[in-house]
Amino acid sequence: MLDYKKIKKSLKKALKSIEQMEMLDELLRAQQTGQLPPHLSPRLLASEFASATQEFIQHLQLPMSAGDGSRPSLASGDSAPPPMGYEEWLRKLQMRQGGQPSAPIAPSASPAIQSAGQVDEAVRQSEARLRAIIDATPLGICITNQNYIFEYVNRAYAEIYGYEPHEMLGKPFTMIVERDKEPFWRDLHDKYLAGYKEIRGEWRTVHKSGKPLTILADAARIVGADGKPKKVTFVMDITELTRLREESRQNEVMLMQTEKMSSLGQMAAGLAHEMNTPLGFVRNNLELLEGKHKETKELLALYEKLRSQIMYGSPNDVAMLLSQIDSVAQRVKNRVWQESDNLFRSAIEGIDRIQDLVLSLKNFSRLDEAELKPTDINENIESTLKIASHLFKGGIQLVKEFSPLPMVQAYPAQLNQVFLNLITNAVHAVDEKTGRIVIKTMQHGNHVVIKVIDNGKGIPPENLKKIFDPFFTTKPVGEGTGLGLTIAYKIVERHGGKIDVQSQVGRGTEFTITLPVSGTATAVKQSATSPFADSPFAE
Amino acid sequence: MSSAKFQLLLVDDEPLILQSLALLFEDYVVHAAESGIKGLEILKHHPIDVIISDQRMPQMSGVDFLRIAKDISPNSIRILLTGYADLQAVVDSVNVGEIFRYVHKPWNAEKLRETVRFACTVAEQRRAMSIAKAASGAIPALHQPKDDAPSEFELLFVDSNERHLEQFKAFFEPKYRTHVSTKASEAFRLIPNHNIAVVVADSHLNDVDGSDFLIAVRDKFPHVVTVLMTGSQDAKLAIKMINDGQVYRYLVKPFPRETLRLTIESAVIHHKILRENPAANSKTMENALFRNADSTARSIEEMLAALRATIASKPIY
Ligand SMILES: Nc1ncnc2c1ncn2[C@@H]1O[C@H](COP(=O)(O)OP(=O)(O)O)[C@@H](O)[C@H]1O
Ligand SMILES: [Mg+2]
Repeated sequence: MLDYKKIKKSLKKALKSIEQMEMLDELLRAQQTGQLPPHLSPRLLASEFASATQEFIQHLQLPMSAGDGSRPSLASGDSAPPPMGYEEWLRKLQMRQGGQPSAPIAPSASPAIQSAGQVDEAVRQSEARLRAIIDATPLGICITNQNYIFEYVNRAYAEIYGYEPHEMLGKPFTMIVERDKEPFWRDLHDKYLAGYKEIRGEWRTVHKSGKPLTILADAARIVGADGKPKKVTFVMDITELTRLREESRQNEVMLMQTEKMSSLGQMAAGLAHEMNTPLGFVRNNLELLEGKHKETKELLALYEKLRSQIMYGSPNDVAMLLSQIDSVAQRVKNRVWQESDNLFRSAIEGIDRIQDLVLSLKNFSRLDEAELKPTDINENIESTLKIASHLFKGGIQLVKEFSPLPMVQAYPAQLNQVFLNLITNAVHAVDEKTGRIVIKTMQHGNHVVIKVIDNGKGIPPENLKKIFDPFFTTKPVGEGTGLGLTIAYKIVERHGGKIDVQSQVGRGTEFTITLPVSGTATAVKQSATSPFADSPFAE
Repeated sequence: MSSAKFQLLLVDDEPLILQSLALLFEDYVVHAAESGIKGLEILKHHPIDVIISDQRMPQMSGVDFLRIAKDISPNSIRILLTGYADLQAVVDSVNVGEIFRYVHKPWNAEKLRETVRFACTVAEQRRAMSIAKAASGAIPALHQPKDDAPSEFELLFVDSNERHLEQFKAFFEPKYRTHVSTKASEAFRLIPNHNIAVVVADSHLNDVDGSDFLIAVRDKFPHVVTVLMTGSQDAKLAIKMINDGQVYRYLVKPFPRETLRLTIESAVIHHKILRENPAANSKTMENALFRNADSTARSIEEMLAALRATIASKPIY
């Protein structure tokens, strides 16, 4: 009898996890391709940020030096037309915000006002455009002087930190950084005004409520009418994006872990048997030899007794001892004795075999090695094959066609996970007696190509598009999770490579992995290292 | 007792295991086979007393081999000696292979020798019995046709779920008089007062563990055949039931009614064999050989305490 309630419940559960997977997948894809959904794409955000900054600085028409001179997005600022007076600009901004020109405005405000009367039509137009941008931009903008004081903040800037603009004006900018990092920030500010360039990037700051914010920042240097340098900072709040990114990264790690655990779990059964078998005969051999050793010692003791009896005892005693020795010797020289050389040999062989397995397990997991390193793909496949060796004990033929390969910059443990999955999939697909699995490696230019070819049942065309989908499996529960190829795809992609499949129902399947020899461009997540010891870089 | 007359069949795909075991049993007549297929061949031509087989082997698994071996040579005692067996294999080894012991690799040489020695005496008795039976022409058919004539034998079901108990009773009566109980202690008192052939217990009972209860039943009433029902599959439990409880069947719930019916029918036949020839019963023999059985113990609690002490002193694998 079917328990429909139970079935319904587990179907609901499955549906929910599929939905979660879909969301996760979308997010991951968004991060990898910068396509979907637009509001979450870091690349789009960054370029939006860069163009907004650039446009802003252009309209500002200020004498300035960009945060990073080599960056094309800001380079055009260098050939800017003659500047509009800074103080003039500042006053206008503050008026627009409805605030009074506040205290810290530069003392030389009057010459700026004089020049205001001479503003021509072009400047007026430019100002109008500037306002439009400032009104529309989600970009936070502030200007700080040598004394770390906010001379100007726009609405977006204040909003990011949860303040009203007037609450910030005239105060030191250190109000938005972590208390214990204030000296660092002041130092950075000084260095920036003195010409230091490394400032663009992600930083950790603090919201009015005390909660941490992650911002993307850039800056420009300008010279005030007072002749003093000032810093214009552009910021964008990316806290939520960073959180999502971290979350999806963790989800991906979890997914990989799950797949690894389940494929290792299946391996464990085979491995346990592979290890316990040699342990079985090694232990048994040792116990047999131990028994034999005891008998030999007994014999030796009798022999020593015989010596003294020969010297001091009666012929009768000697005769008795001799017959005793004979009977013990008889016992010693049984088949265990005759075979003892073999027993020792196979015990040692068994230990070697166990050692080999332990070593290949270690090689497979690579727990004690740096994650990213020059990797010998052939060697990796060998160690994967070793822990999968019991899969081939049946009658499945394994053919290795390895070509010499250059070292590949890679995460060996992750690649092993890919190889193990392709090999198990192939083993599952072929017939136990006529199965044949070919593993080929070769070099094509600056790529390494790995092929896993089987003569198994093949993949029907309608499934071919689905095999990389999470949870797609045609295997019974316990045998398949449907995550293997999903993870394989992600890992290969992370290495800047690709994975292809060709299959013919009834004939077999061929998986091809292509990895760039040095192209780990997407594999490495290089973070800009800060020149400061206690960097607040939000990495 | 010389063991030279006993014949062993060792089946393992690892030749070094065969080499090692052959020397452990050098005073037996040892046949070795590297596959189940070869093992069956040997079984057809030699009177094998004890079969020791690995589980994970290419082509033919240990359980598959033992199942066929049981048909070819029903009197041979079957032992599974393996480095790993998944749950299904363990359960099958009870239900399909009717194995005598489940032994892990690596094993303890002396304990394995003892187990095999014991298995040989059981095999010898079984053979003697079946020769006697053959002479009188009364070998019970294993697959009895369904027949509803009332039986002289009675059944006992122990389960904490009263509704299940009602269903069991309704299903087996009137052919078998069926006793039910939710408590192991009550059930235990019931057994000596009735002609109970089979005790079926769930692993979860209100008072004691169902598997412990069945082990105690087997120990106190060796002619009673036991069947364990369990909802949670557990290889460890199954192995315990084989090695300590000599449980006849291990049923994983839910199971089809027909499975239960067939199980009970063959358990009753098994009970008849045990009763007619106590010497064929490994449990009786074991009790005689290994235990200073506390025959005065009456309650299940006392029994269990005594039993735990014995199990602690017995070979453990
Ligand atoms: N070599 C192959 N031959 C035939 N089918 C395959 C092969 N590799 C993968 N598949 C199909 O793709 C599905 C998904 O594979 P995978 O993501 O590794 O998950 P799993 O192996 O857990 O099912 C498999 O269930 C199977 O149907
Ligand atoms: Mg797979």
